[in-house]
Amino acid sequence: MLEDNKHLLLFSLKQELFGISVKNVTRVINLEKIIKIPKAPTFVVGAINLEGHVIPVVDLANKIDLGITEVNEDKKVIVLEILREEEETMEVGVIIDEVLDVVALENNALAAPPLDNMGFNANCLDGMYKTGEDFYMVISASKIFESELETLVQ
Amino acid sequence: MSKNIVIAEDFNVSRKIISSVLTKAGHSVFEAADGKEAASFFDGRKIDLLVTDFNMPEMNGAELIKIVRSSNKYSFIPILLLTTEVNENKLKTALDENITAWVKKPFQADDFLKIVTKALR
Amino acid sequence: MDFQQEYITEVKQILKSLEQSMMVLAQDANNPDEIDNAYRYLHTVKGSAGMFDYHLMENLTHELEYVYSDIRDGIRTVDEYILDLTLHAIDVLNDLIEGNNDEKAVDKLIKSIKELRGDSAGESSEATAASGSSTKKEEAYIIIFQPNENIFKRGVNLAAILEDIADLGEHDIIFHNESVPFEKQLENKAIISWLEILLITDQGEEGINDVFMFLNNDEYSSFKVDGAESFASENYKGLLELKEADINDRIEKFEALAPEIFTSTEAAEEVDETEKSLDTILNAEIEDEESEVVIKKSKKGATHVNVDTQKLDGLINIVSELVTFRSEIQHLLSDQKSVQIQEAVEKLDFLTLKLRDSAFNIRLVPINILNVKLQRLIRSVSKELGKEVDFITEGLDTELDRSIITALEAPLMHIIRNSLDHGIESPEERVKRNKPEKGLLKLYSYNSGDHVFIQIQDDGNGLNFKKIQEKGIEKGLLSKGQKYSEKDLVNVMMSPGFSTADAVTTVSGRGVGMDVVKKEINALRGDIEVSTEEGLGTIITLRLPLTLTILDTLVVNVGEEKYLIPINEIETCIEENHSELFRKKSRQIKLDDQLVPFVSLREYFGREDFPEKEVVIVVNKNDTKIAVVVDSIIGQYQTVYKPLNELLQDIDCFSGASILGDGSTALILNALKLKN
Repeated sequence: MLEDNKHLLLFSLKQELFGISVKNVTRVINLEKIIKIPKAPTFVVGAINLEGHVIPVVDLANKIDLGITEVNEDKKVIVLEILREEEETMEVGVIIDEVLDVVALENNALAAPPLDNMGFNANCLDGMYKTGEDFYMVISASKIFESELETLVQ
Repeated sequence: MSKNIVIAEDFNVSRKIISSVLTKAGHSVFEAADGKEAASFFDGRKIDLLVTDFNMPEMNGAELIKIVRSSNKYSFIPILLLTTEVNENKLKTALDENITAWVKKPFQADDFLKIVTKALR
Repeated sequence: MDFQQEYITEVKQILKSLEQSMMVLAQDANNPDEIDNAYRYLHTVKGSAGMFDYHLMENLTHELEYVYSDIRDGIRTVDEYILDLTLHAIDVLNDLIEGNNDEKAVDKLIKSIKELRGDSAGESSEATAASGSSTKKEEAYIIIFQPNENIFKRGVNLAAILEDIADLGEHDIIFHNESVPFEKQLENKAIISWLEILLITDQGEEGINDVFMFLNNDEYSSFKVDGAESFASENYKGLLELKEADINDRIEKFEALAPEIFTSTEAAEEVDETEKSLDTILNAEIEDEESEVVIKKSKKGATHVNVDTQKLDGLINIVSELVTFRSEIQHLLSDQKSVQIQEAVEKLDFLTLKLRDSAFNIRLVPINILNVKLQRLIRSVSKELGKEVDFITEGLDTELDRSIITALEAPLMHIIRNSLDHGIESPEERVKRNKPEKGLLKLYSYNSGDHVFIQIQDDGNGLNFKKIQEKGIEKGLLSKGQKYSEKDLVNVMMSPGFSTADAVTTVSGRGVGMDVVKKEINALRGDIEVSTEEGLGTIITLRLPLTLTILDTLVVNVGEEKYLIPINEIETCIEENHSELFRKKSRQIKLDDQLVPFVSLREYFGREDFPEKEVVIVVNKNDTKIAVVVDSIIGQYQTVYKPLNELLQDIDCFSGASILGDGSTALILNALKLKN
């Protein structure tokens, strides 16, 4: 997954450390002016206006069964671009606590994702990234919404 | 594209030759031996071209053309006038110029077909 | 976009043009322009296919090119067989360019073409060789064409003459109806307008005379031009007296038609004199080639650029954002007293709105782009059914949003298929009914206000209401013994699972009924209407919004959130006390002796607090009424419609979202879906 762009955006969410390939990240913004969307799936916190695009904002923690994030202005939103069929992309924002760093990834620096239960849904992980003493769980943007998008295709 | 053509010519051999040239080229031909018979074809049906002789019994070419042109449906169809007349000016005044072209007799089948094809455009 | 991709796009475009030529030739087999076009298209595809290693494509177009060169040379004429063969070839070529190399299909097709050519193959190659070698010299002519008034009375086809001139070569026509500077031409007072034709041709005087075969000698004259000095000759002056500026204009025009026409001989002499180095000569040649390319482009008239729809949407988005930003600026500077600032804001206002309008215009495309597809459908379906149909179109230059046109294709095709299958009768049946053997299918389109109307009319049998009623009862959609209006029956016909055909035919029995058509049209925020006269025919009218992106809405609020309701769906608004609304358990409100169900948005969204005074908005869409209860009305707003993100598409109570003037986002309500 990471071959063509070997940079990771590292961030924190709910005391956990995560990474995501910058290939999917279009930008990181402050969480403000969010509107509620009644009847939306529970992991959708609302929608924001990003330069004329109305994009949904997802509580990432909720989505991967890590608990519920409190929505406030201290939070950041990573805007992801997820490739759909026929070269179309879908934009979606995910809420995180703080951006930590952007790192270049050495070859084979990713360890295999853990298979055992980690207290949350580990299916969306591409692998683990270790630097110094810290382990970062590397999330695959396309895997996060795999189940939702699959039902749409049908 | 097949077109409907009326041929008015009293001289049988001439008429048959013209008719066969046009039929071979894929057109539908209505043959008339005089002007009156030719006029009877202009009864509202679709006619794309009139080829007519000038001197004919019953009704001559000029009169036939006058009748054809007086009908709204045929007022703009191409008309070819067959003629042996050398003095074109004399013919022109007689016909008020309401024809598309003269074809001098005798003519080559190829040349004639070329003129017809052009007139039918 | 790499070269290969660009090439693929171009070939697809050419194949489309070729298809279009076929449709013209189907109507007018001898149209020399289209025959020429078809030949040229094939030639272009063939020439470039080799370069990009599309060898199957090269072979196929190569064979087909022979056929069209024969047609062009008058050795054969376009017939049904050739048309079908070519159309089939276009499909195969489209597959090939997509990378689906069905070698068998290509071989089979090439075999058919070779068989077709069989008899004339030998002579045709000679003919092409002969015509290829006879490259005559191009010369410039000025033709003065002043037909007598009775030209039409004489049955002379003026349009055909102009077409023939176009066949002779590059040309430019100057239309004269001046009365002062050209006194010479006014000697004959009856003629007021005449044409001056600048022509580059290799057919010589003879070719010109051929074109004007049916014109009298006094109606046209041609004059060969060798350069500026020709205009000064007595010969020419006798024809036309021009001012120096006009002469320069003519020379410029000629040079635009053929850059080397007056200079080629001189240039050659110059080379002799100065002994230019090989390099400069080569450069000159390259320059010539370039200018040729430019002219080819200008020949087509308005050039088109194909734009990726995503790029276009990007532009629209930025423009919408700018429109929003404009409102913000306006708001921020509203208390500014400076006249200069006010004027600047006004100017910004004007420009952004103009920019928005032109950006939206780019999205608009004429309905005509569907025409070829529809014609092909009609051709194949009527053949399949053994019916004959004349297809007449009108107003296909009417423009609609690209996305609407794309979405219209399927329903339109279905409606036409239905008309051919169920509407128009077989030729025998038609003769029995005193109708012309050939059926008539008309497609016309026009603008009216914010909407575009598309009508599909056939002169077939019309709807059989008796049959519809019987079928409706049989399907359990109608009850026996009850009287139904024609409108009711039309509605039943367009409800799911209804088909009147006694036997499911291969043509329209594809499991899709009018219900799907109606659904698709409604999805475009459009309406469908059917009017019919038994035995005489049916007219189906589609009413569609000009664009999906601009929407007039009513802004309402529920709690802190704002929602938008499309104004065209709103019937009335009334104020009502909350207690009165919720007095009974059933959520219904009495309006003009009619009970209308209502949905309280606060209740629907799970809130338990309600204001005392509430506003009831009655929505009427496709004859279904529902009332929506909101807190209050904020105002009207023209918004730019944004579809909801894929993640949110399951929420059907919102049809989209919009960004308001203050930059906030609001959801657009889909009131009908609130009911469920």
